[in-house]
Amino acid sequence: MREEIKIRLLLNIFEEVTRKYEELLRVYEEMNEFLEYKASHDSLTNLYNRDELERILKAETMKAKYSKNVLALIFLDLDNFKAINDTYGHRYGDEILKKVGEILKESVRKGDVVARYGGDEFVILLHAKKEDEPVNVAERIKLRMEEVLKLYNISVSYGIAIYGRDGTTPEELLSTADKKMYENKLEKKKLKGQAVF
Amino acid sequence: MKVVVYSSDNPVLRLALEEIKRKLEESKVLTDFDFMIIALNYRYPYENLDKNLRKIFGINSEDYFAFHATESFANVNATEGISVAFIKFENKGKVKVFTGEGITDYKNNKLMDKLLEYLEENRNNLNIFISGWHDVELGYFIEDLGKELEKRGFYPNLVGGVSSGKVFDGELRTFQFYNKKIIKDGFGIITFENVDFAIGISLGFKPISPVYRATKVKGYQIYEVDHGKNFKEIVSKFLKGMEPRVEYLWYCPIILLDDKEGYVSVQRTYKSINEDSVEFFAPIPQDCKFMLSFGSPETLLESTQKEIEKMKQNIGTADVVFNFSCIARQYILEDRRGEENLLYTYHFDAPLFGFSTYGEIGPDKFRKKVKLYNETSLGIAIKERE
Repeated sequence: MREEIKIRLLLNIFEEVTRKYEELLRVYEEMNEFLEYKASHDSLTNLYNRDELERILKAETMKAKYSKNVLALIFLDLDNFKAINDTYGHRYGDEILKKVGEILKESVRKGDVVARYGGDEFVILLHAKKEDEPVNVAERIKLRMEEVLKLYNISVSYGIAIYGRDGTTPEELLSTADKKMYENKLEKKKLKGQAVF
Repeated sequence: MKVVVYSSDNPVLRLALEEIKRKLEESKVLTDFDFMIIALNYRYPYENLDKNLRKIFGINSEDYFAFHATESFANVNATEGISVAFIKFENKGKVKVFTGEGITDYKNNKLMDKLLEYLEENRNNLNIFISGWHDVELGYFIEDLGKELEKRGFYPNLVGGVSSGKVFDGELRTFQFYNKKIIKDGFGIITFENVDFAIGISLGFKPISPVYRATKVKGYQIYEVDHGKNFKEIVSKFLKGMEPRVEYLWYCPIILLDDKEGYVSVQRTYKSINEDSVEFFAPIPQDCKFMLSFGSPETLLESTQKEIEKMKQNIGTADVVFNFSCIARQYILEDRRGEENLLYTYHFDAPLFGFSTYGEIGPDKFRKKVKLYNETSLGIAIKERE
């Protein structure tokens, strides 16, 4: 009789211990997910961070070789943002960056990638059917952002690189888009007769 | 020091004592003795204990110390009657007794101060503490005593057990008897002078679960663990499909973990499953971490064997061995309960006296403070100095 009781008791305890292990495992998994999220996202805007963008870009360029779609990289930069930080302080600047992050997330399709590349620089990685589609997307985003940010006298410059046409490696695509963005910015400043930052 | 231990389970007090006297005389090991330690079942009438002892053994009232025990040990035998250890010193060994009363109101009386003063005077002697069961106060009394000793920076070789008994004739009989006094709310300390001794505290329960945190605790009771989980519900699941007897839970006491004092602090045995809590036999600290454990006769006896080996390394031989072993432990040992006493007597080749306790009192692992243990076998091997 005692043996039966002990076996029953052990089985019941085992059930509870299993439940407790599963609970701990769930907590561990949630903690891991949180840590992974923190490691791959920018803490201010909750967009992907630069490291994660580079990892995704590497994977996307490998896939793009065999894809019929167009892989485009849009490099966006906020004009005159330095003046905002200098005039109103970084806290104010951070609020604007958060707002930019929200607009970018709302403006792309599911599956496209938005990342904060650093400071006031953002990157969008998108898959398009035709080569002119990324320009339309970039223009739409630029107009939306400038509409929201006009109060702060902030405009947007961008450059686009297309996989195949402008390069095949992450470095080539980033460098080309960055260069085009800078040319775009320079052009605007020249028109206004201002220095370029 | 020569010691002999005899027992009787005769239900009549006078006849039981006479039987023990006859055994003593027939053995011829001792012709006379200096002191008697007596474990008495709660069913015996105790009013005439002193009178009977003086008459049958021809002793004075200060030459014995007696206490209640549901079950006592005389060598390898366990009895629900009476066990007596007769002690005769051969060198400079001596025994004396200190008693204290008023545990339930110890915060408002001078009991703790008097006890500390006595223990400081006798810090180099062996002090065997036999207490009554005072429901919740005893645990706090021992905890506070531990804190005071740590504060004063000495450990007075204090070991012992809590008298076991049951409610009989309307009173919970866990009393001590000394010098015509019946101590109903206190304790007695039997102090041995000029003796060497070794102490072993045997557990033998293996941890089997992840760690829980006791997040809602009151005194001896746990209400919730891990922020919001009803501990009573968890424990009730252990008894699923069985008659819900709390004794079954004695196989799986909880092990309190102590970050400050080492991995395992103490075990706590289930006392009852209440409406919204689970009660233990000693205090549970708020926010303590604990694990479930499990023990079998084999793991318990293996642990005792290891402790005996350590004790033997410390003392070599012994004139007598005391075993204060938790009543819950006897339940786990089942039909092998006699083997624990056999291990002590076999390895020390010495007589054994002991009893089933409601808690064991002994040093922590650093020998800095005293603790109330549950479900342990506390062994003390004693040898008179040359």
